[in-house]
Formats: sequence, structure tokens, C-alpha cells
Amino acid sequence: MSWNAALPLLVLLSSLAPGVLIFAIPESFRRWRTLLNLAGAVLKVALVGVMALGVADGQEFELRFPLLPGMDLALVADPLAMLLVVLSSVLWLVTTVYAVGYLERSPHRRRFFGFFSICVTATVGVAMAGNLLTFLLFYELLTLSTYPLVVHRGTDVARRAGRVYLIYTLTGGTVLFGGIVWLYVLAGTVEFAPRGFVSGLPASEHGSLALIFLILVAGVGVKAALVPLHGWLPRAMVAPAPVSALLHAVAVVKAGVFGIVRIVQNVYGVEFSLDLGLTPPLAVVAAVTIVYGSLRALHQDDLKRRLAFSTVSQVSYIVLGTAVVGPLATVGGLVHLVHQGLMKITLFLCAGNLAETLDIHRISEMNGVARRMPWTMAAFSVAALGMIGLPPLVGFISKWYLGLGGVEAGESWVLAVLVVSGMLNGAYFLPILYAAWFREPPPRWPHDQGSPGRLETSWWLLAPPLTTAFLTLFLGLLASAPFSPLRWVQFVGGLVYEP
Amino acid sequence: MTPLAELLVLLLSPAVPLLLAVATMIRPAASTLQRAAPWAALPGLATGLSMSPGIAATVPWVLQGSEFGLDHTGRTFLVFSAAIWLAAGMAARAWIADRPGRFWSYFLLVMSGSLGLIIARDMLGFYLFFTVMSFASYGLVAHRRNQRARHAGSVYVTFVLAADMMIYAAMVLIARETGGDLLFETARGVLSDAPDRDLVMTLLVVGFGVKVGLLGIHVTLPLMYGAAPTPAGVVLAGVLTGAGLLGWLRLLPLEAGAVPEWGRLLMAAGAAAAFYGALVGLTQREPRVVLAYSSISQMGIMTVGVGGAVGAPGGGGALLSAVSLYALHHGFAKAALFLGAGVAERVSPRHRPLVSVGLVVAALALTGAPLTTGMLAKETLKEALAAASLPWSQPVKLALPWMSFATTLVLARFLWVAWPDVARGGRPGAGPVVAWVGLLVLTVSAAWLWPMDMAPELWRAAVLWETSWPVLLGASVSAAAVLAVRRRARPFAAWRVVPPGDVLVVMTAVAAVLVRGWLAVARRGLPAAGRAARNWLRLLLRPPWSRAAAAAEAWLAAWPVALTLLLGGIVTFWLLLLW
Repeated sequence: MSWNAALPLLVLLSSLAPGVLIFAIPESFRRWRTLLNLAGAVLKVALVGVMALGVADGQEFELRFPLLPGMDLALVADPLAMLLVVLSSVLWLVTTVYAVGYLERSPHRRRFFGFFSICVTATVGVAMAGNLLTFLLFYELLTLSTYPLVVHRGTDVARRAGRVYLIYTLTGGTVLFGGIVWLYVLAGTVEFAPRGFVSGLPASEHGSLALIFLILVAGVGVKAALVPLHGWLPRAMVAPAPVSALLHAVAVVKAGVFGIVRIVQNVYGVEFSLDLGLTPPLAVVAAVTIVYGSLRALHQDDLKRRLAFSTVSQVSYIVLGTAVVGPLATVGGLVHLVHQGLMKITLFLCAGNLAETLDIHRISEMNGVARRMPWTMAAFSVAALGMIGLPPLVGFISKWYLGLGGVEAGESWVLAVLVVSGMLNGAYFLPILYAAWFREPPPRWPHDQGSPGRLETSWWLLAPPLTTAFLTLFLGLLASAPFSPLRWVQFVGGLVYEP
Repeated sequence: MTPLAELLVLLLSPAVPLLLAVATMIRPAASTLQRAAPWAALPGLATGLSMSPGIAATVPWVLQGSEFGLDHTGRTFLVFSAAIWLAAGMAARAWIADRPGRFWSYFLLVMSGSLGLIIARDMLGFYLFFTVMSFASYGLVAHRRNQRARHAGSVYVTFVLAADMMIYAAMVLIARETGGDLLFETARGVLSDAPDRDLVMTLLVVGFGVKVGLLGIHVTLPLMYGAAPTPAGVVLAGVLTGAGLLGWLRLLPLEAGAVPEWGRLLMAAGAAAAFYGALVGLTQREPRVVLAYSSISQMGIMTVGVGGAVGAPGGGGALLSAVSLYALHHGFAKAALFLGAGVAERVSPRHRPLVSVGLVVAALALTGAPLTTGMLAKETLKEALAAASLPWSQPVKLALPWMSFATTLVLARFLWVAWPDVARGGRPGAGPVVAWVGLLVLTVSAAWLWPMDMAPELWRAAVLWETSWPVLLGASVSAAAVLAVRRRARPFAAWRVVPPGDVLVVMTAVAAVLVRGWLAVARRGLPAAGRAARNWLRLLLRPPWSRAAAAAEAWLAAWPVALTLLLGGIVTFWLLLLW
């Protein structure tokens, strides 16, 4: 096996092997488990870095196993795949560090970290899937490996949330499977192609193709939390903070929305989707989701619930960018895949810090909390302002390209949606910042778990959100630097359109 | 200097306060930082004074590749902004006792934004600094943590958020027209022929208008000035209004391809604000709130100039310089008055006469009395307006002396309420007094010394008369009013205060009704919408409207109202002439 074929497999194994090993070693081997986790995560980032440099250099990394006659299990590291692979590998490292600190004293860590590793393996698989079937396999693996994480606490609420999660996602998966089979029957292949593979089919099949598009998007739309398929996401916020971070920023929601990108760009092709009249309705669904999610977020007092509705809204920026046809909108949507991940993981990790250190779960309990935890709240504030789309944070870069793409495509209403969404984001994020920074704290924090040392909480919990908050600022300010996600996405976006 | 060195020196103006701001956030209690903080504006001032206009350099990695540079307009704004920041910093060092660390971090952040936006030469660079300035100002407005500061802060941040989104949308639409080129020159060039010109112009005028205090959205100014600590108010009054104005000057089409409709609209709005601000200012009792209304009025005069530049068929180059000069003059004078109000509150009886003289000098400058910088600024503006050969310049020319009259009235009101005749205790301290004297010196001298490529002919009897009579008339009317009040003449018993923010009361009522309606829908689902609608109607027909009507009636009996209604009539007549 050549190096170029082995590397995708190694990237998968770098998280799968630690996962399996963690199941094998006893619960009490804490140091070994931490070492395995961190070694796997660091190794993965290194391998992915090598692969990304190779892809940028024009090399091809591809691995195929025959699975069925005429159907391969294909792992292809194309530029679009690398976007999600790099994002999830880097954020996995960050989340692993955090999870080690977060679950310091809780039971069932073996189960947790085992599934945690498998979950990331599945996400990377989803990213590198070279055809719809491979995509589906990893997509289902992701569903199954996240379920134990969602119900990790074992409480009644958690179990209920887990059940809802399974019902939603397994149904979505089944629908997706049906769509893939129908498409295979029709087109004879499900291999992703740079500008889609169905445009050559006779015009008589266009009706079926439109229906298949609807089925496929409905299937992945569950994980992408498109309204009205979003119901599981706010419920799933009962999971521990690292899991929420994973669900919202790295893995599950991203897998869904990545599926939509793949379907629009690599199955149907952007321009052909527009010709079939498929993208305008998708754009409308995305716009409705953006506004609806924000409106619901306004009224949540539970911090993580508010963040969950915010995810519903923000993830649809990506869908909107995909559904509005034009190079700039595509760039805006794809780059938000990375940017939303950075901002949302920061927010959830900070929420986790508040819960873990001060037992604060509600916004109404957050008065003056920045006095007690200034670094956590500084990171939170950076990410929240980024969500509103203020420069120079990454959220602004996304919003700039989405807005430009909207008007470029002649869809100026997109700009109006973005303005309204920005206002609503402000309306539900700024009061949190106000409470934390400008209100008087209570005389003492009733459940302060903090150490008496100098730090507001442990380093394991503090370093990850500070890192991602720094990236939120850094990658936004230097958006045009050669190493920025924006540059990469401009490269990817160039492949989607006819030259 | 090499271009790179020039760029680095240029970037020091926002970078020094920014770095200090970050340092103060991390170590709020460090006394070294607090000693250094007031001087953070020095690099900006030095750059503005020493660097020749015309330099420009690109920073390719930032945002979409940002360009920075200094032109004549930028230099004007940089010098007066940095000087006012310096004065405000000296005052803050002495007067901010409550949580100084927190105050300084916001103060420095706003400073960084307000100086950075001046050296930006492209839309995104400008927007970046403008946003930093706008949002960080919240910390200054809300610093006092009382009910009033909270209210002012929430109103302010609501307007800022909306304005920010508007500017964003306008920039996106402009960038579409320019094909991605974000430089100001290109942006200005495409706007007059753009298909959505009116939409973009509306977004720009309103978006920056929140800072300028454009009529209708001027409501944040009185609240902010009233709530913020004095040193913060000095920069809000002296610098932030200028930042909004600069936004207009950078992006509105002033050069060629005149947009007469918009020019006319802006001029009408400016003239109306000039009188409206003075009218409402007369009814106020707090020195800082009176100054806020005076700012609304003065910014109205500058808006007239901007409108003239937008409407001028041959381009508004002369008006651009004239408005910049006016901004410089107004910045210094307004900052001096604001800081003077703070000094007057703290001064010992022995020094009261001196402080009174200082206040009067600054006030006279703003009215445009002969020999003052106000006269120079107003005459320059007038001459530039005349040179712009606008078809409707005659009514404006007639209105300008009456604007001076209105300014005189409102500043007389300020002197009346700020006059240092009550012992309030405390001492002003050396730093603020030095800063104030410095500002006074700049108020009477800076505009004279500032290099301009045009010089109006000032020393003619006609000009002297035209600049004297409005001030004399205003002063006499005010003196009569003061005497009458001292003798407790009857009409003055009914003098009522318009709540600071005037029409904000109406806006808040409408917003409250909308929010309440939405909450009803959100909590109880759509069927509640019908009930909510009925409730809205009931709310609309109930007090506070009826109460407001009764208050309005009583209020109409007061003399400032009668007086300025008369003025209003004159204005309306002129405006009718305009159309």
C-alpha cells in the first residue's frame, strides 16, 4: 500500500486505535487513558497536517476497498474533505484536553473516552467519504457512537434526550439510505464528482432527481438541525459539556451540514441544482431556520439551551451559503463550517466551565460572574461577539462573504436575513455579556468548586476555550493570510464552478 | 522614511491605546498602567501634527487586505481627536475613582477605535475600528452602574447594533458595485450611479447618523452625555460625533456625480436638527444634557455642509474641507465646555470668576461671535456653500445667522445651569485644570492656525455685523429670560423639562408594545397573537399617550417653546422655499 493510500487510513486509525485500546484497559488506569487520548489526538493533528500540506501541493490521497460489486468503500482526501478533517482533528485535540479536565471526578470515563474517540473517527470518515455509501456508513457510525455520550450522565432527562436523539437520527439515516439506493438505481453510481454526477441523466428523470434531492436533504437535514427537523438538538444539551461541544461544533451537526454540501456540490453539482430549481427552496428553509432558531434562543434562560438554539440558527448559515449559487456565497458557507465550529466550541466549553466550577446553568445566575471567572467570560465574549458577526472576529468574515454572495446571486433578501439574524444574535448574546460583566455578583458563589489557587479554574478547563477564542480572533483578523481557512475555502470554492 | 516605517508609525496611533487596553484588562489594578494610560493618545497626536498627508500602505493579511494612510481630512480629525483624548485622559486620571481599571480598559479601547478609523483608507478597516469604538463605548456610558447608566447603556447599544448592521449591509452593497474593491475612493465613485443608490444612501446616512445625532435618531446623545462620567463625556461629545461625521465624509459621494435629492434631504434634516436641538436643549436642566442638545444642533449645521457637498453639481471638495474645519472647531469647543462643566462643579469660590470666564469664552466660540474660531468655521462653511452653486443655497444662507441665534440661546441656557455659583465641594485637581486650559487655548486658536486652502474674507463690516447680531440678540433674550426667572415671573413657573432623549419616550413605548406582543406569541403560541393585538390597541389608546398629551399642552405654554416655535415657523418657511 502506498503512502498516499495509507495516510487516510492512518488518520482514521489514529483515533480508532486509541478508542479500542481505551475500552481494553481498566477504568482505574487514568494516566494511561489520558496518555492514549492525547497521543492519539496529537498524532492525528500531525498526520492531518501532513495530508493537508500534500493536498495543497496537489497530491491525491485515496484508499479504496471493494465492498459490493461496483461499489467501493472509498476514502478520498479532496480539498473539501480536508476542511472538515482539519477542523475536527484540531477541535478534537482541544476537546480531549478539556474532557480530561472536565470528567476528572466522574464515573464511566472508559466508556466515555472510548466512544469519544470512535465518534471523531466517524466524523473524519464522513469528511473523507468518496461516495454516498461510505458517507452513510460513517454517518450511522457517528449516530451510534454519540448516543452513549448523550446519555452519559444516566439521568432520566439524559435518557429521554438520548431516545429522542436516536429516533430523529436513525429515522434520518433510514431516509438517507432510501434516497441513496434510489439514486444508485437511477444513476448507476454514487461516487462524488467535483461538479456532481447526475447532470448527464436524461431530462425525463429530472422529476425523480428532484424527489431524491428532497429525500437526501431530509435525511441529512436531521443532523444539520434544519427546522422543522431540529427538535433533538436542544434536548441533547443535557449531555456533558465536551459532548455538547462535539455535537454542536465538531461532529454531529457538522456531519449533517457537510452532507448537504456534498449532495449539492458533489452529487448534483451547484449549477445543475439551480437548473433543477432545487437550491432556492433550500435557501428559504435555511433562512427560516436562521431566523427561527434565533427567535427561540431569545427566550431560553438555560445557557446551554440558548446556545443550542443558536446552533440551529448558525449552522444554517452554512446551508444558506451552499444553497445560494455563486462563488462568493459558496465561500461564505464553507468558511462558516470552520468559523461556526470555533465560536460554538468556545461558547460550550465556557458554559461547561461555569457549570463545573460554580454550578451555574442559567443565565439568570450569571450576574457578575466575570468578576469570578474573567478569562472564561473573556473567551465567551469573544465568541459571542463573533456570532453577532462583529469584525475582526471570524463570524464577520463568514457574514461578509455570505452577504456578498447573496447580492452577487441577485438574492438581496439574503442580506436582509443576515442583518436580522445579526440583530437577534445581539439580542440574545449581549444580555449575557451584560449580566456577566456589568451586574453585581452575589456576595459569595454558593457552589464554588474552584481551587484556592490563582487560577479561576483548572488549566485543563481554561486552556481549550482560550485557544479557540484566540483562533476566533486571530483567523478573523488575518483572514487573508495564506494559512487561513478563508484561503483554503477560496481554493475549494474554485473547484465547484465551471471555469 | 520607508513606506514600511511610515505604516508602522501610522499604526502606532491605534496600537498603543489598544495594547494598553489589553494590559489594563489583564491587570486592572496596576498603577503603572494607570499612570501611562492618559498619554496613550500622544502617538496619534504626534503623527497627526508631524506626518505629511498623502502616505498610504497596505497590510495584505488583515481582513480583505486593509489599507491605511493619512490625507488632509484624516489629519484634521486625527489631530483634534487625539488632543481631546489627551485632555480627557488627564481629567480621568484625577476624577475616576470608582473602578478605575475597568474604566481605563474601555476608555483605551474606544480611543484605539476612534483613532484607528481615521487612518483607515478602506471600508473594512474603517468598519473594524468603528465597531470597536462603538461597542466599547458601552463601558463608558454604563460605567456608573446606576439605573440611569443602565438605561442609557441599553438604549445606546440597541442603536449601535442596528447601526452596525446597517453599515455592514451598505458596505456589502457597495462592494458588489465595485467588484470587491474596498477603497474609499472607489466606493464613493460608484455610489451615485449604483442601482440601489437610495437604499445604500439610507443605510449610510442612518447608520453613521446614530453617532452624528441625526434628527430622529439623535436620542442616544442626551442619554449618553447625561449618564457617562465627565471625562468619558468629553470624548463622547468631542470625538465620537466626529467619527460618525467622518463615516459620512468617507463614504457619501462628495466628489463628482452629484446626487441633488440626497443633498437637499440632508440639508433639510441638518437645518431642522440645528433648530430642534436648540429648542429641546433650552428646556433641559442638566449642563451635560444641554450640551448634548447643543451637539445635535451643531452636528445639524455640519450635516447641512455634508448635504451641500453631496448635492453640489461640481463636487464638494471645498465643503469637505469646510466641514472638517468645523468639526475641529466644534470638537475643541464642545470638549472644553464639557470639561469646563466638570471643573465648574468642583471649583473653589475664589476661582469661580476665572472658570466663568473660561466657560463664556468656549461658549462664545461655539456661537460664532466675531474674532472667534466659530466665526471662521461658519464663514468658511458659508463661503464653501456659496461656491458649491447649489440651486437652493439662498434659504440656507438666510438661515445660518438664525442658527447662530439658536446656538447662542442654548449655550446661554448651558451657562445658566452650569454657572459655578453653588458650593459643591471637592477640588478639580491640577491635571483636569491644565487639560481644560489647554482645550480653551485650542478652542480659540487651533482653527485659525489650521492650514486651509481657502480663506474667507472676514474683516468686512457686513461680515462682522452678520456674525454679531445673532449673538447679541440671543444674549439679550437670554439675559431677559434670566432676569424674569429671578423675579419669578409667572410664565416661567410652568417651565417643564422634556425628558432627555425626547422622542425616545415614544420609541420605547412602541418597542415595548412590540416586544410584549412577541413575548405573548412566543410563550403562548400563535392564538395569543389575536389577544396581543387587542392589547396593543388598548395600550396605544391608554396612557402614557393621554398623559403625554396633557403634558404637551402644559409644556406649550412655556416660553422657550413659544420662542422656538416662532423660529420653527421661519425654518418651515425656508424649507418650503427649498423644495
